[in-house]
Amino acid sequence: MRWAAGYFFVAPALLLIAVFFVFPVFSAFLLSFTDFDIYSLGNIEYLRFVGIDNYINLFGNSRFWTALGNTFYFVAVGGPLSVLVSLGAALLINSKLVRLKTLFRTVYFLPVVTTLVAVAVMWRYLYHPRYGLLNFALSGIGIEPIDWLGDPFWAMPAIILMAAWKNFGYNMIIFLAGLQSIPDSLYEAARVDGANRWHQFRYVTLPMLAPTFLFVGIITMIGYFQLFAEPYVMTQGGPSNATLSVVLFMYEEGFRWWNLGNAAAIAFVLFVIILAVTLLQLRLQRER
Amino acid sequence: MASVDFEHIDKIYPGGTQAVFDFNLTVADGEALALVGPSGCGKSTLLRLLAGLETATRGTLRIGGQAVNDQPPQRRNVAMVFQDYALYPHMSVRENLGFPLRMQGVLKDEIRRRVDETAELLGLKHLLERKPRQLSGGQRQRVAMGRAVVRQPSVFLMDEPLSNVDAKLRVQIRTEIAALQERLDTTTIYVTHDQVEAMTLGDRVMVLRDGVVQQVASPQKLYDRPANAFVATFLGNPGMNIVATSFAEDENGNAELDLRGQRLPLPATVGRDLHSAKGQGAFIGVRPEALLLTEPGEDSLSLPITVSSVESLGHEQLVYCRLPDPEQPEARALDEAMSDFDATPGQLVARLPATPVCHVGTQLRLAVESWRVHVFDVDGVCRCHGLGASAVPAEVQ
Repeated sequence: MRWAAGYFFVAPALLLIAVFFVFPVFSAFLLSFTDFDIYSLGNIEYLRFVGIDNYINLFGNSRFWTALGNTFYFVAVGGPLSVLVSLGAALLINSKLVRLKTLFRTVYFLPVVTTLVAVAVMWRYLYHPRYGLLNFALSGIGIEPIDWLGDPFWAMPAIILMAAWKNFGYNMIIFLAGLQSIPDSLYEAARVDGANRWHQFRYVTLPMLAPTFLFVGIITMIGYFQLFAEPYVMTQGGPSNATLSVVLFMYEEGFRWWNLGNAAAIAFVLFVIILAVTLLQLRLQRER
Repeated sequence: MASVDFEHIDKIYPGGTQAVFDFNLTVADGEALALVGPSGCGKSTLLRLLAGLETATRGTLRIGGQAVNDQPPQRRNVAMVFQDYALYPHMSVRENLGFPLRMQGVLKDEIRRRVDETAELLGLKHLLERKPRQLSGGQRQRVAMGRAVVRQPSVFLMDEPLSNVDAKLRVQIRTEIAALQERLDTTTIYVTHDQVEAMTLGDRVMVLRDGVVQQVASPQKLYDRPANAFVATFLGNPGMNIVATSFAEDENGNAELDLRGQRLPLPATVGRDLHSAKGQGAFIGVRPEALLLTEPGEDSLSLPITVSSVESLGHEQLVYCRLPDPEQPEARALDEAMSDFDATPGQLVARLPATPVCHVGTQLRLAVESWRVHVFDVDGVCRCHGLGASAVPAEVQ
């Protein structure tokens, strides 16, 4: 009975994991095979098992495909943009020429810890078609004002820009840690070996940051697939669904129309997509 | 291949610390110079100045006669082996070795040929496709050497290349480096805090202390004729014993030294010179192996000592012993000044054969032949090697 003592000690942790992780995920998974809605919420007897109908309906729903397309657009453009801006900022702050490093680090990190709603209010001003700072600046170089959040073409870029601005500080800190863990002697060796600044960046900095890139890439991608708050606050998915994301679509299905079975199905489809893309990224990294 | 000249080099770091003071040195083409000194003496700074990783505050640096002060490292054609090797961890051994050539724009086939050649020379052939983390410490060291050798630089710089290798391997690699240097005949500057490395690897050895040169000489000369008490105590393991003595006069009025009642005759010129500073006394220095457990001969002194501890090394024993306290107050005052060159007042170390075994507390007399005694003035500058008739005046640095 030696194993019993071990289980006894891990039991509290296992219990917590079971109650707060396994049970909810498992019930949500079951939920995605039912037509759980507001009526079933009142009386569970209305609940019906519908098999994979939720999934079939979902794949037949054009709004879902729009949401999925928008989300991929956001991840494909916003993800790399955010990572590159983070890397750029980290390189700048890490430079030996820069003074007041701590100040800049703090300033760049501030948006990360600021409430999105407050940030959104500010950005709505920036994006305002008539009084916005952005259009004012553009008019200075002779460009016609753009209705950033009201134009289906510009709404997603506007959301991407704001999201990148809000998030780059987080990745910047991770990149900074990565940069600072590169020993100085490698740069010195490279200089003595005849490497100029670009060579040093190309053959020392970039390869030494590879693990950081992988981590930042995956974390950012997972976060960006779950795009919700930005369009929810700024555009409510509009104009004409141009900023409708998968999670926003799920939210609407679940908490506006109370089709919780549908919402659960969306959640699991998104989970599979994120899992697949993460595995793909890991595989690509390993091949290199 | 090139000579190296340091001309009046000063290096002051941004914080205001001066690491190097008016440094002058010429390293001949093909010469191996070992720079040795305690940590913080400025030896690494000199190397980094030459590599171009630091810039000199004042003075001129020449490689092959050309002033290189304003040239970046990549244009100086020097190769450096770093203390931690600084191998590029993401590159294979082959890529590491080829990197400097690639930076010079050497063609692919030529890189391949030269890397193979270098790998052959250093016995790295079977490791070429491995990453640095898959290598042992000694193998990494060899790759670092290879990366320096492959580009055929005009000067090799080595910054404590053996300090991360374990003791046994160190001896082996030391020999290999010496052989390699001999074979390539490239000007080499080798920085170390290990005097054995310095003695074995340098055609000439320079002892540096607090950014100031103490002595530059061949290893043997440095050992036999130290210019000052710092060099004397720094070299040798254990270093030279230093004992405070006071002045006395013989019946003819010539200056002598008085060591615990024993008279040590000085050469007339040295005596006169030291005598003008009479009252302050002088130091004598004796190497541990010069102390013998025999009856003093004709031209020897005899030191009465008490054994305070014994370290047995198998083939020999290191006997730590104490001299009786000096009676003269001036010799006692000199004792205080000795901390300056890393010696304990009144303590001697003798390197004696393993037998007869010495025991703690035993009172013995140790003999020293007078030609093996060095005389230093109160500032630690060596005045003569040997006493009386056998004395050789020290060269003025």
